[in-house]
Amino acid sequence: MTDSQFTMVNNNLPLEVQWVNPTTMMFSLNHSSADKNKSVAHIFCVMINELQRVFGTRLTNIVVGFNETLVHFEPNKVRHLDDINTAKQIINSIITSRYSHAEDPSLVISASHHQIGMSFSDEYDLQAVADKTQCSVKQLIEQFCSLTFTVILNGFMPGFPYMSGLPQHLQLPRLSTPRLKVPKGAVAIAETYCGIYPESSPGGWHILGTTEHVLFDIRQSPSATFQSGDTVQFFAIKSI
Amino acid sequence: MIECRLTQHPIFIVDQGRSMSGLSGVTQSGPLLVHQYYHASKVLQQSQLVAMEISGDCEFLIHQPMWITVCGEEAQVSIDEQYVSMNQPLLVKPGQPLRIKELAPGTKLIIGLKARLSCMRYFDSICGVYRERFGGVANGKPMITGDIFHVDAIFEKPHFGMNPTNAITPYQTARYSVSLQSSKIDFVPNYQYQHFSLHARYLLTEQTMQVSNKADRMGLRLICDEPIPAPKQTASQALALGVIQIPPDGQPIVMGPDRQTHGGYPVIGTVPDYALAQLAQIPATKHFHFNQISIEQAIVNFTLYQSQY
Repeated sequence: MTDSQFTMVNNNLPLEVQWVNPTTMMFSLNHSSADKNKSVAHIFCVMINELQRVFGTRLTNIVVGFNETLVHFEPNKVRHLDDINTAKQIINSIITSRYSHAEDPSLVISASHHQIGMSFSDEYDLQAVADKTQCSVKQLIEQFCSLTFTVILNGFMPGFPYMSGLPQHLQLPRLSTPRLKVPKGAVAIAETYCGIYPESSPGGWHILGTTEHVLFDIRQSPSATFQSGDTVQFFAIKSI
Repeated sequence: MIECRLTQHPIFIVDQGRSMSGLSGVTQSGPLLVHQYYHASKVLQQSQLVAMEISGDCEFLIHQPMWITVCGEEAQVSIDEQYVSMNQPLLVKPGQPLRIKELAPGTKLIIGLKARLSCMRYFDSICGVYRERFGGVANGKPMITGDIFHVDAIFEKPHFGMNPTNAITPYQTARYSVSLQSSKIDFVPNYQYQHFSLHARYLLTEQTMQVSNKADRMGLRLICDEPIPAPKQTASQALALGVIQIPPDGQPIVMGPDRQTHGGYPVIGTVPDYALAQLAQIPATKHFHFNQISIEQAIVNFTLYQSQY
């Protein structure tokens, strides 16, 4: 990647910003997989708040990824040089604070904690996951309900939360053959993530159970129930 | 009231796109024909313009007097059986049929409306994405034959000065007509470009491409003779408008306004907004090449295009 007026690569800090098209700026975070957890969500949350504060209504959209955040500007209001310089200042201040002043109160984000009732069911993959992780179904449910997940982003479909916090021994590859239909409300795990299907959809994750919690309501603002940085804990309302 | 009496293809109701929808995992949507959309905005002197994106013969009956404009590739446009010019403000009187005919296959038009439609707005937009089941006519659906849109408000006549044709310049109508130009589509290398082999990069720019018949507002699927080998990509990533994904079959997909927020295929680069509007107007029968440019050049080109609006 070249460093130019429109690109910033900071070798000391694992963050860079560049224009990827004339209306879209990309912030990329190069981090090890060990860091791909709460801290990533935290950095992006702080960044989103700051971007919205600084750029205001000139922004038309923000899309958070696992390693990057896209920021879309209104075509008639984009100021390429000024905006990339402002972005550099934002990430410098955030990363500097993140690494040198971890307790900086300016980095506190307004995240919510959600307690989600869940019906565990052997209709899908509960037993198979227990077998693969070498524990009983009861132990699996207890372990799962003791975890606190952090919402990294909403993606794949409206309101689908990708949540980190799955311990290594519960991390499984996706199903070799995806299901054609995963039920609405399915709570599922794959690789390092836990997710909930807001609507029925094809999917290749291991389903542990279902929830009736509404994850996306287009009539509400915000429409997605979970926001990046929120924490989620499940409790069993029906166990087999 | 606007009544769609006949259409060969679904008609997409668009505006500037949804605002801040990405944080909810919701598609941004917006116009595919960006230039034509902004041109229509300028012709009608209307910000936040409501427009219809059409891709074939169609006929409407407009029941209230309304200023409109038709922008894009050449077609036969008539109001009440009288042929009218494109890229100009046009007054349609109640009961007069508006007909579009002989649009070149694979090309599209924008019909700008100086009115506000009576339909639900989500994320400050009336755009609909069928996959997401909201917006558009209803439940994300595009407009088809027989659909009716009610109109909330009609906006006043645009101010043209003494001569309505002063509203635009001839330069603008020719500029976005890609069929009249050499068919090179700009792209900026980014995302996983460095992870693609030299051979893959060579294949992207040195062979001709065609837009497949499967192209839609979600993605413009391309066809090339020699598939482009792609590196492995395991994690999903946030997708900008115009990214060029290379799926396992090696046939590129350029992502459009109705793309999902995230995707898992490796991305070799991005087609800038202005070039995406050109790509969307290339018929399936016509060949084109990708032309690699720097982001600095793309910004210069973009600024030149934007200066027209």
